[in-house]
Amino acid sequence: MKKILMISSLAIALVTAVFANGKAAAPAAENDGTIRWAYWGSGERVEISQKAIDLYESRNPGVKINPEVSGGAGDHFVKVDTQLAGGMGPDIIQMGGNIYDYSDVILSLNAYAGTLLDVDAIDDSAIESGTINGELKGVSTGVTMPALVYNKTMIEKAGVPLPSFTMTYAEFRNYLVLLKSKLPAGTYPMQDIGVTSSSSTAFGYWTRFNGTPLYDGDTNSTAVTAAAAQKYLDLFKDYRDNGLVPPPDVAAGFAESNADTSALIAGKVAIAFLFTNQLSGYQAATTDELNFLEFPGAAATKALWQAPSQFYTVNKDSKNIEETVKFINFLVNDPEAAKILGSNRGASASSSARAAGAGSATDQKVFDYLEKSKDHASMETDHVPNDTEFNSTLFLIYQRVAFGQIDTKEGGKQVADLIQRMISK
Amino acid sequence: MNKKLRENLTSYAFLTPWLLGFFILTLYPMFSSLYLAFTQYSLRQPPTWVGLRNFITMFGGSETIMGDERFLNSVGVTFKFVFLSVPLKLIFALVVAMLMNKKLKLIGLYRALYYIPTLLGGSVAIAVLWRRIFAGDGLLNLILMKIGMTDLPAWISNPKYALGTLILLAVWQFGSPMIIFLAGLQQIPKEYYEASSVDGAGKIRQFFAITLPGLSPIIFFNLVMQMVSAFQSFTQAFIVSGGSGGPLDSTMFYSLYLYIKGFGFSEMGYAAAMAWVLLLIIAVLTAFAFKVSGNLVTYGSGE
Repeated sequence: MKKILMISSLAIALVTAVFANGKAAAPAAENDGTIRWAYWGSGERVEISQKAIDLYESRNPGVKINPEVSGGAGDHFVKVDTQLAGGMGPDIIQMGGNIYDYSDVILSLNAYAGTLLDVDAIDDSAIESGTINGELKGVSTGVTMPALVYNKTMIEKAGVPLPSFTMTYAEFRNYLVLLKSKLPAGTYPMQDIGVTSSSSTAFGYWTRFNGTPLYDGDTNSTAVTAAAAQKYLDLFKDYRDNGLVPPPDVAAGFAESNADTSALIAGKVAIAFLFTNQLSGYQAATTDELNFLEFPGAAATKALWQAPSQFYTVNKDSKNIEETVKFINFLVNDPEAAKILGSNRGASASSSARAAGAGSATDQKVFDYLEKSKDHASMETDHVPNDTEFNSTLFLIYQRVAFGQIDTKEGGKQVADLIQRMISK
Repeated sequence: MNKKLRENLTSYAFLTPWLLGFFILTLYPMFSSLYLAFTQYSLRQPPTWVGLRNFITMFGGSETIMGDERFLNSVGVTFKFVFLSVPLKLIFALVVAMLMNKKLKLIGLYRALYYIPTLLGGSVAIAVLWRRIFAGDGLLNLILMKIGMTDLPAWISNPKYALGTLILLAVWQFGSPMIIFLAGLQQIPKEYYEASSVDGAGKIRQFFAITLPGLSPIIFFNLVMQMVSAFQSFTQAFIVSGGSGGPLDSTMFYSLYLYIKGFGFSEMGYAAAMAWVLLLIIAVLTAFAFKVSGNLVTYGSGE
């Protein structure tokens, strides 16, 4: 009997020890000075982020920063959502336009503004973009703008003059036709922009160009009708039918979630859509030279916009708030950090960082584009609620049209219905 | 304390770690997912009770609710995948098992080699490799072009063929049913074959009269196991389609859509409801298989 009692108490002691360890280990890990920094990106962004971390750690002995990287924004938020739900969220969470969805779980930085976080150096507009209901929730990583990018090397090799920076849609189509006639078989003038599954930005530009913005948060309504959406589908049907964009199965082979899955980097297309902050990462992935041009028609309509590229936000349950805020301050305001980070997360919104100047020729291109297109831009339109589902379903409808499963009229109707459904959800 | 109770206590003491794991890590999540199936839950806010709404949304309960077409499509895709890949895989595994059942030199090596795809097949690396083989400018098309074919599709990103490449990937992982078939084949007494060949039965007659009936319990076991795991396929579709289930939702497996709904669209309640519907589907099909098997499966009466 004694034996049994001993065995069972041993077993119970063992099991409780295992569980107790599991419980105790977690907070300890967070308290040992390690700052967990979750962001998405690949290639260049991972390298320069690590360089910035190394610099910070060498200046601040004892501080350890642990990056938690996901390849794309989708994976990033899956991971972060799960960690947050389990009470194990990272200290710094990189956010995009969906910062509003997360405002309950991120810390207000008001208490640190002006002390640990030098907000005076940061542009007012950037502070404003990260402020929700009077509370500073996110620190802008910099500004960005939607743009088109062309492969200069590829176009020169084909013997075609380079595109002008500013064009109308008619001029743009003519240019694509010219490119088509000179490019080798199996390559195409432009990426099929609707097929960027992770982003409705190009469609968003088109709706602004037509004066029917996607969404107005104040009235919770959209200006996009079935007919307006059909016009976009018709535009690309024309491009597709004339070989100006790749056929649907070729386009669908490129997930377009980062440089590794990009048709532009694969040399399949000569012109593609990017946000300006993505240029440096994409340029690092190819030996061809990439350059900017504006979306067609921006000059006349001011349909472009500047947006905060991303935000650094702090998990409200962080055990390491002060060290975390200090590190964020370093990332956004320190001149040396700015040189390392370049325009990868947007062109810096901090005057002290900007004073460091452009770190590379690519960064200079980004600054030039922002400067030139500034006057062809207007205020950003609100994001459609339920962003992820909107993008995913829009992509599906777009593919239905591209593969000829439905016509553009039906497609337009489905897009308009989708926006209504997202708004009323 | 009587002896029996004492013995049982000892066993329970030893079982404690496993039992705790079972109750905390299996049973508790299962019941909480049953609860979540009747809620709306975004992970960021606490779940709210919505009754049967998730299920009604799936199938369409009234005139105003059409049903979730992407969900219904994913059911269709999954059924297609299961009912094509499982029989093909079993046939292939049986053929290879019969070849492996010969007395050859190095037969052990061959068996090991043919098992390798099963160890590798579920991995991310192989899914990425598959993507490269069946891409528009992938290995397969390069070979086909070398032998003079033109106008080749991009298999993996064409909605007509994408699911086919995944079925092929599943069939290629025939190793584990093959090993089980092999064990089954070796259980069939040699005397049956000897006696039948004395009576003048050919190889084909022997296959249908001896091998298949002798193997029927094994076939049935493999069928059920493969069916259950095929319904839960996830990795291949997730990697090959870049997580989108595309092109045109043609590789949108049930579990992939469940994942996208839960983690992508933050509808955990709906995802939990889908998990329970999948459980029901598999349970019904398995029960059906058992029912039908009564007539077809013969269990040996112990020599």
